[in-house]
Amino acid sequence: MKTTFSIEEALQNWVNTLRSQHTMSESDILELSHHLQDECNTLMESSNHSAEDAWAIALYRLGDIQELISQYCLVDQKKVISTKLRYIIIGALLMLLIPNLIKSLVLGVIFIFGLDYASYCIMAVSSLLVIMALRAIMKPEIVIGGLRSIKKIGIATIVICILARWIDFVLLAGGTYAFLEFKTMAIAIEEFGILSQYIGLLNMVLLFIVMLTALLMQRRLKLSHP
Amino acid sequence: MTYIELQCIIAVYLEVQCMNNINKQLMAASSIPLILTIIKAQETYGYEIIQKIKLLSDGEMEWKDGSLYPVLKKMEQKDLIQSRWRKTSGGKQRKYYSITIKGSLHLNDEVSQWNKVNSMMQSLWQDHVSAKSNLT
Repeated sequence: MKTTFSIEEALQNWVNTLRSQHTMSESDILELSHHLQDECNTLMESSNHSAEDAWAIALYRLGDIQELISQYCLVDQKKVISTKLRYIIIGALLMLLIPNLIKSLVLGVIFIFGLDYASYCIMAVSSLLVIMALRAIMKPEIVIGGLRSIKKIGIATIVICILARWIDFVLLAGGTYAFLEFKTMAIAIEEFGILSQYIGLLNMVLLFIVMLTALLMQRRLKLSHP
Repeated sequence: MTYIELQCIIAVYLEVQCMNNINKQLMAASSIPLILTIIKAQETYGYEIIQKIKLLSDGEMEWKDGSLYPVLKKMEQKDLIQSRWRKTSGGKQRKYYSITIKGSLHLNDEVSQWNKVNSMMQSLWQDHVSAKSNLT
């Protein structure tokens, strides 16, 4: 069976492999991919090599990729360590703040709309998180690529929620638990009144600051990406 | 294969290995002044630098293409060169490198050092060649 070789496809796979290792910056990967493309073009134009041969020669001339990555790591050593530390700090902060945020949101929904809507919200958010986690496990580059398929995830979440509503899953499993859990919270709101709302708001502001910091750091880490 | 033949092969192999090592060390030592000189002539990108080096050395410099880029990065970190992404006439994005003031000063320093070593070598080798011709 005859197969047609595409340099663009091979290059894209090669770039994806490098990206999945999270060791090199986007700018470095792009520079190397341009080099490979230039080399392939030169080989095909000047030496009349086939696309497949040109690709193999260009890869050979570029050198062992693991060795190259380790060379880049040596140059970027300080940055790699500081990046990891930053992510650990951000991760720890998020771990601390996210449960509080979820609680605050749910409390807010209960306070404004009542308990029934709150259980639907919990179902929707948890479904969204489960789908995002599954997709992240299956295709890690999605997370790095900035959740490009957020639309698809959103649609899938809505579909799951509708299905869950139809089979009464909300009431049978998550709903029942959530009802019991947040009923006590609703009582707490009645007792503490406006104070709990302020705590919720404060948590949200804190999380927003953390997210913003993470975003700014991510931008800075992208270096001189075109 | 006799024992002597085997020893000869090992000796030749070791000699070649030794020569390669020297070449590698020389290449490593000369890479920065070489790159700086090429970049000083004009703003250029990685692939072009490699092609120029290959052309200048008649392909005798066995340099893996990829190993240039970490060197460029290291030089950029040391402020010897600076880079910027630029669109070429063909619409392609390329990372162009240019020399900095610090890089120019470093190159001047390297040039004087290499010249010193070169003149020393030349005078030593001239003595060596004349001594050799006297013997014959």
